Amino acid sequence: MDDFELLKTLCDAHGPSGNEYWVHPVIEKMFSSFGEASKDNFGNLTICKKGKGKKKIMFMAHADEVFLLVTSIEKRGFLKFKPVGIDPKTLVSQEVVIHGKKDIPGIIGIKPPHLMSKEESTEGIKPEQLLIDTGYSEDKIKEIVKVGDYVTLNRKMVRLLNNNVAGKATDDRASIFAMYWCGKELENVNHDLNVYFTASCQEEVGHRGAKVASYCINPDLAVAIDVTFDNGPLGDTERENNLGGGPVVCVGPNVHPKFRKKVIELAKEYKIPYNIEVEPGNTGTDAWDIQIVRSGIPTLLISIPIKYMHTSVEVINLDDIKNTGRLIAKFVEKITDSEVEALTCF
Amino acid sequence: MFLKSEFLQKLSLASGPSGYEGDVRKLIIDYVKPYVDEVKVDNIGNVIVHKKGNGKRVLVDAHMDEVGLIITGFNNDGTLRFAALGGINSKVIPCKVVDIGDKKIKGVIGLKPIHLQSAQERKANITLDKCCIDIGSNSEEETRKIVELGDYAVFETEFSQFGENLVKGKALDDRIGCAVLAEALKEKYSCDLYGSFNVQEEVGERGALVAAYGVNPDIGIALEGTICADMPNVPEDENATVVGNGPAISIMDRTSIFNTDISDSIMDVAKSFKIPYQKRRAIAGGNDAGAMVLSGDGAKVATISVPCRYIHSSVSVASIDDFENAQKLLINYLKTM
Amino acid sequence: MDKTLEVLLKTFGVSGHESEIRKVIKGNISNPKAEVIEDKMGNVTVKLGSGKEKLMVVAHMDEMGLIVSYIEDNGEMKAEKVGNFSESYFGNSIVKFENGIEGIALFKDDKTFIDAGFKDKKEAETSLKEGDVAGFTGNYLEHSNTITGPKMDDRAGCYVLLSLINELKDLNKEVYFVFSAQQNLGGRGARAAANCIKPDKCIVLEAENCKNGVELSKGPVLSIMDKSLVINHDIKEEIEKAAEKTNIKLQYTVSEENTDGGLIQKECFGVKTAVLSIPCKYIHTPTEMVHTSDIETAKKLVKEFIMSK
Repeated sequence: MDDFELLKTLCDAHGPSGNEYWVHPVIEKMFSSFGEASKDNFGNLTICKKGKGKKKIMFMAHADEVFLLVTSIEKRGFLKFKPVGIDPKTLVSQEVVIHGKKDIPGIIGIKPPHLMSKEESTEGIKPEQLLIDTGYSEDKIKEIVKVGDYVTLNRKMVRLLNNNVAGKATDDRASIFAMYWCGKELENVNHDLNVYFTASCQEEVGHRGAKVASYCINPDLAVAIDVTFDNGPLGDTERENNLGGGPVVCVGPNVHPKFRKKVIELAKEYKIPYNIEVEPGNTGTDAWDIQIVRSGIPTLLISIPIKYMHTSVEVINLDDIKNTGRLIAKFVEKITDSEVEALTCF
Repeated sequence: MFLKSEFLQKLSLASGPSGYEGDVRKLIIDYVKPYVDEVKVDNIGNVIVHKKGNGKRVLVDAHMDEVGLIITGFNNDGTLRFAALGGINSKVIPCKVVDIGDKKIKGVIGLKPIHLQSAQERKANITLDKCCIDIGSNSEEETRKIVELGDYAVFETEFSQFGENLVKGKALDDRIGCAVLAEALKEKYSCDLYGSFNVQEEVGERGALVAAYGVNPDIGIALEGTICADMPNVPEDENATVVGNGPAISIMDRTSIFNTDISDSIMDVAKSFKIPYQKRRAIAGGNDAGAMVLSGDGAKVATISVPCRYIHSSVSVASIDDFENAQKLLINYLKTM
Repeated sequence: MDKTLEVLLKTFGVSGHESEIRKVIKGNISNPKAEVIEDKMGNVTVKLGSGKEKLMVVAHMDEMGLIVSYIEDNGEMKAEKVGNFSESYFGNSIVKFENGIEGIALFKDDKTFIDAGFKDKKEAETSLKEGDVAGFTGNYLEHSNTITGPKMDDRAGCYVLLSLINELKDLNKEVYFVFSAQQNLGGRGARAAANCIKPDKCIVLEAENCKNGVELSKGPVLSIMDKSLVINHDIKEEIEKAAEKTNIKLQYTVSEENTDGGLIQKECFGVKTAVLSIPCKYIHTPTEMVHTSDIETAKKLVKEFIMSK
């Protein structure tokens, strides 16, 4: 399978928070040549690529995606729902998959413009106005779907220009791909560090899996890999991140300064493009929880820039994803067990 | 897939926004040619077919165009500005995948992530200036080499079965009407039957004005994929039509008031052939029948529609039973003349 | 109503001040095999059985209430909320302090007061001080198999736990029944208990609001997701299997609440956690209503879950 197809398989797959195990087979297959897979009690999946030394580094990308939950079954088989992490404005005319007793398609539609009053036309959409159309009668749908069933976006990834792609769940499956790329780069490298590739759970509902995964693995170093905003007109214009500009390294209290400086040094030395972004406090990622587990873990946050986050058309650059994988692979290749101590002390 | 909806599927997947109906035109001409005496394409692009007969002159029409988008400008980050072709409510625009132009360049319609929206922005309505079409280009220069001003864009939507006996796809308004007409043309009739597959209905029933002028019918029947708001959060009196209750017969809309003799005859046919039907209980919207009334010396008009949820968006839903019953109804009605 | 349930309902136990309810709970344990532990946070943990799997079943023993922060010259006491509830349901209701003194809770001008009838600050200070806590009190109505009054959330859950402790024998797992402290302040007690026990699985027994289709007498409620927990799918399947075996129909909900489960699930090596609730009308008001059949089915279901292989 070519790289785009592999990324597409990862992102098209459905894995809402709490049901990440639905995408585990795809991930396990991708990482199978690197080492053994194991799962903890929370559902975090880790593949360990052994090194010759004793020190451990954990790379973490979250396997879950934003989703909807069915909250009631209405007349004519329509469903009321609660969006978790998704802007309701982006859901109008959106196709979804309802995961009931079996997977069925759904459509979130609204009344046609011809029947809208002037206010309805000009006012913003209220989430309560949205319903999922299942095409089934109320009786029939009750045999398939119940309150609390999960609904995910239905989107097949497409290719755009310049190695950019658009699809759902690139947040954060793209980072899982980056970890895979790292594993590939290290295939024939004799490294000291024991590498733990962790696909964490429930990041989108409050980065909950990170704490348990870190407690179980108890690594010496950790890198959380997530996605971040680009600096375009529909992104965060205050940042310097741009698609094609490479991985974005975070600076701030959540990030270990010496560890971060070393990674940037390597990026410069090996000509891997990168950008810097500043987070003065909670980074809103797994990194926040990892840093304070047990006696603390030196943590880094590296993010891949994307456009239109948490929609069904997130745009990301395939080269940025691979460069992220290359950068962390370089670190594993070049850092020996004895250097870890010096790197992490204050 | 339902046997009888193969042609509908082809029609739904074809690109044909108002003014750019070429692909649809070709599909239709190839399909209906073996069943009609004459096929011609007039000066605005309508496909007019004729099945000669001695009875009344009847014009049945459906429109080939769908709502879409048109490129109006270039942003300096390489994304595109656009306007709607036809009446799309801007609420349905964000986060769709589109195909631009004849080369079908892929683009996505982007929106600022919710994390970055102010409290006001979160509550505000979507307007087209808050969106862009992103083709993955790195610069305005690069984009200008690939896309031109005035290029059209249509939604990329799969056609497939949906729920219980329903289908979903784009452009059911009015490819479903085109499909009903195409099937009806396979039968034999005594009346002097003209079929017109019109262009540019969505921007003001433009093609129909020309078609009606050319044919000058006594009776005009418009076939539509019509509004249907039978969702539970819409009060029943505002539904207009209900999916699955049969083809809908119109009473009035913005552009015509329908001739009760014709509508009554149609309903009589429905009753005697035990074909389910419903009334289109709304007067909103307009269609090609309005053009027939405004052309030459006018005409007596009626409209038969297939109820479609979510018309004028990227994906609509209709009932296969309604689709087949609309065909049966039209065929049996035409045979009475 | 059942005598044990009655005494549980009528005992004082505002978050952080659970000594009364702790005593009552301990006093009502009659199973000779039960190992009772009280920890630093004030949780009461009852250990029963042995086996490969470690299961934690938790119900919180604390209730919400008010804490006196300042005594006015006129004898009225300014207070703050202990726990998250809406004052709109508690205006002019009667509150009772640990030492038995009763007063009226008043909400005026965005501030909370307790008026116990003292004529001035001096008189108030003879019986109460800043830091004293008061819980909501009231009569219990029993009618048509429903019981209505304060503290159903979560003394009904504690009642289920006590019944199970006293009934169960020959357990095939190591079961820890935890009566947790300070749930209303963010699940602090339960988290510490989980940190100590390190269970494989946990069922949190709670009370859930009757809205969005949840009804009284229609069976226990399984929460798919709440503010801090997404149900673990493995334990969800086990509960559903247990429900099928005992012919109990479950209700499902997406909840707006926060429970002990949120912090328990992330402790140490992680815990597969579910929240199972007794439906409760008018939850978080002085008149919480439950149906006795729901308490019974909840108990039956948890018993089946505990005893299954």
